[in-house]
Amino acid sequence: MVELIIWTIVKILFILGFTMTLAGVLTVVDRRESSMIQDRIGPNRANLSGDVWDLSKRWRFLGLLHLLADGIKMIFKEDYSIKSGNRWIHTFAPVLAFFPGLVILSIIPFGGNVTLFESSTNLQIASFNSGILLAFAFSSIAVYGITLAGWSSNNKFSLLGGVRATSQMISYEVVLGLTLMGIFMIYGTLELNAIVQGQQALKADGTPDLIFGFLPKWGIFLQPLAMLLYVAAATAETKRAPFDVPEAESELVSGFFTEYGSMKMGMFLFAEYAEVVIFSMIFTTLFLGGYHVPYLYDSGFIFPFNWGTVSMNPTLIGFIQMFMFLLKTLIVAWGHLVIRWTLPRFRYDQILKLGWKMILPLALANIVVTAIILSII
Amino acid sequence: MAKKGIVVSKHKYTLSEKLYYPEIFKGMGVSIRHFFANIFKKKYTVTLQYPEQKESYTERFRGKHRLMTREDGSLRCVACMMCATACPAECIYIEAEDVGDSLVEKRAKLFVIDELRCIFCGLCVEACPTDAIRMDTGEHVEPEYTREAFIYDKKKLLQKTGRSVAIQGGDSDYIHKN
Repeated sequence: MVELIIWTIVKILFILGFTMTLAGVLTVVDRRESSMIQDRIGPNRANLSGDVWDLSKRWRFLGLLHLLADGIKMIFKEDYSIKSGNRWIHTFAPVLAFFPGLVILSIIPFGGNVTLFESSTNLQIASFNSGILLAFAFSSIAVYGITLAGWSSNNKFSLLGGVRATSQMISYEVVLGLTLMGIFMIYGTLELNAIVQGQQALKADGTPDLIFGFLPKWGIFLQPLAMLLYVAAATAETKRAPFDVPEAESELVSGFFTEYGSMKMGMFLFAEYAEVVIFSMIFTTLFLGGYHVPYLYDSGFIFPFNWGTVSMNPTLIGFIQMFMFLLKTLIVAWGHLVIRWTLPRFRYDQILKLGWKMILPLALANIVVTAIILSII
Repeated sequence: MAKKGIVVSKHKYTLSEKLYYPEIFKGMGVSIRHFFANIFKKKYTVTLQYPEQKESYTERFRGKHRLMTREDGSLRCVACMMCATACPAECIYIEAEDVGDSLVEKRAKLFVIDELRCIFCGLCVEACPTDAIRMDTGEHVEPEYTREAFIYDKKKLLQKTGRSVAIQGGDSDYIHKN
C-alpha cells in the first residue's frame, strides 16, 4: 500500500512536471517557431549576463529566458479585478479553465512496466476501464471556465467569445467522440493502456502482429481517416488557430479573456498550451502507438523479415519506452504548432459547417466501414 | 449606351482543394521548409540585429560635422565666416583671433556648432574655401541628456578629425592656367 502511494506520487510529480515544463517552453517555442516560419528571428533578447555589448558573450539560451521574463512580468503586474460583473466567478474562471486538462493526465500511460528498487509499476497514474471517457468528460468541463469568464466580465466582446467557445466546443465534442469510435472498435477497449498494448500486439505464437509484415498496428495506419478528422476536431477543442474564433484578436480584442490581466490572463494562456501538450499525449497514445517503440516488445527487439532479435533488460525497455512517449509527444506538439502557423482562421459559420456537415458524416461513415471490415475479418 | 460590366470568373475549386487536407499538407510543407531553412542557416531571414549589427550610411550621407587639420596639426579654419554666413539655421558661431602669420592671418578662437539648430543642409561644407569643415563622418548626432551637450565646441568637433591635403586658398596653379 505504501509502495503504491509512493509510486503514485512519483508518477504524478513526473507527468505534471513534464506537462507544465513543456507547456511553459511551448509558449516560447511557439513564438520562436512562428518567427522562423515567417522569416523573422523572434524573441532572443532576454539574457542572464546583463548588457554585455558583444552579442556572442550574452547568455541568451536561444531566447528560452523569455519564458522566465514573461512569468516574472505576469506575476508582478497589477492584479486587476473588475468593478462590475461578477467578481467571484471572474476570479474563479481561470482555475476552472485550467484544471480539467490536468485531470486528463491521470489516465495517460506514459511508459510501460518499470521495475525500480525491486518494486514494479505501470507508468500510468489511474487505470480504469472507462478510460478515455474521463478525458471527454473533463474536456467538456473546460467549457465552463471559458463561458463563465466571458459572462462574468460584463463585456460584450468577452461574452461573444464565451458564447462562441460554447457552441464550438459543444459541437466538436460530439465529433471528437465519434472520430475515435473506430479505434475503440478495433482494439475493443476504452482503457488507454490496453489500447497501447493492442497497438503492439503479439500473435498467439509469440511473433509480432504487423501489417504487411513490417508496419506496426498503430492507429495511424489502421484508421488514417479517423486520424485526420480527430486532428481537426481536437484542434477545435484546444481553441487554437484555425479554430480560434473564441479568442479572435482581430474581431473580439481577446475574446473571453479581454477583461483579464496579470497571472489570471497568464493562466488562460498557459491552459491553452497545457491543452496542446495533453492533445499531443492523447494523439500519441491513440494513433502513434503510445510508448511503443517499433519492433520493441517485452522481451526486446523482434525485427520483421526475420532480421533477428535483440533481447534486453525489461527495466531498460521500460525507460526506453517512456523516453519514446515523451519524444513522440514533443514531435506531435511541434506539428500542432506548425498547423497553427500555417492556416488562417475559419469564419465562425464555417467552423460549425465543417463540424456538423463534413466531419460528422465522415466520422459516421468511418464507423460503418470499420464495422463492416471488422465483421468480415 | 449602357456600359457592359466586366465578367469575373469564379475560381473553381479542384478536388484536392475541396478535400482541404491535401492543400493543408502543402501549406504545412511550406511552413516546415521555411522553419528548417531559417533555424539552421537563416536562409530567408533578412533581420538586422540592431544594436550589434548596424547598416552603414551611404558615402554622401550628411552626418555629424568635423573640423579638418593641416599637415602640422593646426586647424585649417581661417575664420572667414563663410560657413556662418551661408548657414540658413544660423547654428555656427565663430570668434576669430590674430595668428601673426602673414600667410594665414586669422584663425578660429571659438568654433561652435549647435547641432540641435543644424538642419544638415551641407551649405557650410560647400561654402568653406579651405576644406576645414566636413560632414562626412557617417554618424548622426548622438542623443544627450541636456540641450547644452548638443552645442559642439572645437574640441568635440576635432574628435573625428583628419588631415586635409587640399592646398590652402585654392589651387593657385589651376587659377593661373585658366
